[in-house]
Amino acid sequence: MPKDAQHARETLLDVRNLSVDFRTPRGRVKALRDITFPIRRNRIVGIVGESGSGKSTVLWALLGLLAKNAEVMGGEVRFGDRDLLHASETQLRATRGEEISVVFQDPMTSQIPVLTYGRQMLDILYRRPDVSASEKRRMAVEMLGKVGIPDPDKRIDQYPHHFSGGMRQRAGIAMALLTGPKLLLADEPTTALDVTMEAQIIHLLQDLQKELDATVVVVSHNLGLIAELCDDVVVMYAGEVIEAGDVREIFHNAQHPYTRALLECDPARIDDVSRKLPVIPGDIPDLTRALSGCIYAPRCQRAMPVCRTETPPDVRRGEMSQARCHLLEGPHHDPVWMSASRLPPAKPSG
Amino acid sequence: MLYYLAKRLGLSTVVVCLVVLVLFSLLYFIPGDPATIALGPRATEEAIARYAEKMHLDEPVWRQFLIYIGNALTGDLGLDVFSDRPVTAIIMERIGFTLALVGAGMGWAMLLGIPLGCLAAVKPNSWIDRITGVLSVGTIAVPSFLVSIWALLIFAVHLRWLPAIGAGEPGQLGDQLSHLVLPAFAIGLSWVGYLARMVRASMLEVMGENYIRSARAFGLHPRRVVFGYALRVAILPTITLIGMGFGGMISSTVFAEIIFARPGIGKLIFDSVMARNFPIVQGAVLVATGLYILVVLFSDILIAWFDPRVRESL
Repeated sequence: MPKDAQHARETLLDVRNLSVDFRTPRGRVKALRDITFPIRRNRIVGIVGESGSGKSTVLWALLGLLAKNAEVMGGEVRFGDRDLLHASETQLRATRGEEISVVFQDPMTSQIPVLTYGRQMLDILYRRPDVSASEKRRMAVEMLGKVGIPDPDKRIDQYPHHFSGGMRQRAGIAMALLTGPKLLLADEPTTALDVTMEAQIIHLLQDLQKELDATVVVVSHNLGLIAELCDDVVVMYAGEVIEAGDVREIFHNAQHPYTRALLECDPARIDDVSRKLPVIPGDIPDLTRALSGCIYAPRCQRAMPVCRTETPPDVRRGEMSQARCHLLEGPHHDPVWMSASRLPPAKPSG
Repeated sequence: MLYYLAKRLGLSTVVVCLVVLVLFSLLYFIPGDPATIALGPRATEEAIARYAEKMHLDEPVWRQFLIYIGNALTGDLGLDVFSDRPVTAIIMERIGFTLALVGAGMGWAMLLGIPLGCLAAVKPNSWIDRITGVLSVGTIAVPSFLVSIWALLIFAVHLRWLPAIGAGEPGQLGDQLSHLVLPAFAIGLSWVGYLARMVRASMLEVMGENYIRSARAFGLHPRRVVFGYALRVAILPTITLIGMGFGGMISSTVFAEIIFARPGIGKLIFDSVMARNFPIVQGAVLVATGLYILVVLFSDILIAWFDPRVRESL
């Protein structure tokens, strides 16, 4: 029991066996399957994956704001003593924006164009009837200053179209942090920004996380951003968590063939000799079909016959570290693969 | 903003002048001598000449036009052919009835149509959406004069709940209001449908925007999200529609005012056209045009007030 108690103390939010389907005209898309990972307190956790891997869907599932055609098929999301997947709409609304807040992907479209930042921020604080309007405004101005917006007492009365993209995202972060949330979710916070802005926003998030003692989850497909910003990483592929662990472990000693291939494809590591950008051959599988075996097997260069028939086990090593691959354990265990550090993906033998 | 207003008012003046020109030429191109018509077939040559001089009928047409414009600018729209009373006074005592009718008609249509559109958009394909959809198309398709006649037959003649004709005793607000109910119902009914459809369409579009998802993610109350955020953006195209609708309604009051025998502008225009009472037709149409232009201008200003981006581009 003491281990569990410690786990509970360290874990702010625990996603267990989360599965989500989307009902589409083409049939059910099994968008998330058996997602399990903890989010540790005061950490910055990165969720990486290709487009369509389900990383944003995880975020919206945590907030209970999935699209209307989505259906939660099972699992739980422990947050304190609550299960967010089975909480009432009223409970969820009390959590959103107050305990769990979001920084959105595109600050150009995610802020309402016809209300001033002051009005929007006052609205977010609506659950605090004991705080006067002028005090709320002071809080908002202070937070805008904290995220690096010059003249916050003047700019608070301006509209989003008066702000540049980077400034809008800063304001977006200010809105998200206004209530002092325990958990901040950032959905590709720099995708819509240019590179210099990206660096600034990353450092801002890092500084604020330390200053406010918050826990942050960053969803991104940008490996450089994840490496720089995060403490823990969750690697997703086609709706499954393929691997998770400490950022250094993942980047220097990835266990799963997919993670290794993904790291090889990072544009920042472009091949110096050939100037070519490596790619993972093949496409993400069609998630409307029944799936068997390892989800990555069709594209995996180390795939064995068993990979196509049997679902690989979650191999856990410690609190956070997990990987889902036949190579890591059981009869197909490959000690050479395990010990190989930063090995390029092996060519299929025979 | 001031520059914008000046520009809009300048443009409006040009439009009014063009309308006057059209009205003016129309009346001179249709057959018949105004003096003979005004004074009747048995009028003496002398009387006709006197009348023509008084009305400047012997002047060239372009001078008549300038005289009319000049007088209109000072508020003088000429004299009633029959009673010799100033046209401006006649229009002024009638216009209140028309404004009350149009205001009440559009008012109840807005009060009902906009929330219905919101409800339908918040729960698309629900039973309330389907019922609203069917009723909207139904009410849009029925012409207002038909609604007027049926409303008159059912509520005034058959059930005797409401008065059938007239505008009520002057000074008695309750009586006047009870006379307003049926005509306002008749001219507003199809607007309930229009507005519900329009608001639903733009609400559906806005509800899918990222900033609505943001508002939800910040835990705002659904009422605040729908009415404070989504409707604030979705109402903009509807405001333009309502502004233009006022103009259309002024002309549909002609039917309602004839059927319910209300002494408004529409009925005045109708009666005057029948009697070839040109000064009144001219004056009344001019005033109606002016009203329409004012309402459209007001709706544009309202949009600017709601949308800072429009406001700053002025």
